[in-house]
Amino acid sequence: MDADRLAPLELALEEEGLFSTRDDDEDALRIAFKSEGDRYFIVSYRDDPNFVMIGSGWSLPEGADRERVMHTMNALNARKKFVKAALWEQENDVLFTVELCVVTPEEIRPHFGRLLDVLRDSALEFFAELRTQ
Amino acid sequence: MTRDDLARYIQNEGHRVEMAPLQEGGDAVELLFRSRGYVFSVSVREGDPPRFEIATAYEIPPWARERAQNALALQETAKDIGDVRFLLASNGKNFVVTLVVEKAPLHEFQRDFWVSVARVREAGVAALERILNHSESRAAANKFITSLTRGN
Repeated sequence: MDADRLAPLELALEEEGLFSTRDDDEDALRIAFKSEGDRYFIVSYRDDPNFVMIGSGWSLPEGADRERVMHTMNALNARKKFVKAALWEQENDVLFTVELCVVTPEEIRPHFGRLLDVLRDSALEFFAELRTQ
Repeated sequence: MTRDDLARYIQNEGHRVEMAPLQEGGDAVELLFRSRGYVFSVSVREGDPPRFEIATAYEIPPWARERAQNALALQETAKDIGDVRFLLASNGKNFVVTLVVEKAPLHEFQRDFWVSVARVREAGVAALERILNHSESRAAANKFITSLTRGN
């Protein structure tokens, strides 16, 4: 398998004017980056080279009502294109991911800005809805 | 220098930054960075407090480049939004949206930086929508008038 198969996404990040860092290990290829101060990651597993995940994790507000969180996430999952929202890490964090099946990550490159916008908007909408319920 | 601190801040937020002197000379520089597909410029005039301007440009589609009409649309949008300036540029091919932040120390400007960037972006989107709506309604009106003239 091509060890640098995430290189097209590093180029996409460069085109977006963003810095990125690599953190590969024997299981996965990973890119970490920030946009407008928020942290994001890209992962591709070595044993599943067609799978690419772009995501971001956010802390839930202290004392957030679990039922309300689940309801908001469910509404978001039903409404939004591409994005999956889930509770994570002892249910203190919410993870927003875009999970894709591709022959090569080069296929993602022209759509990268859109996918990043969707991730960003999902987090914004989620927390806005959580506050207003 | 304020500009170096601000450039470092934007870089720490994940964005590549270029610094260029402003044409007017003196100490003023502009920092250029990309966000959500747009290039933003932040001009910094050193002082106590410093003065900042955040700006970005939007391209007007060729079919909607009606200068007088678009100048009016920008004026109307500026009136609705309040604190941003619009300027038609490049012979009516583009318009520039600018938000001026005065009398703000750097830490306050940084605290609200992405909110200010979002305000510039949203103002630009609102202005572009208004321009396109004007153009579309004009095109529809023209079509209607033409069809009446033909007796259809």
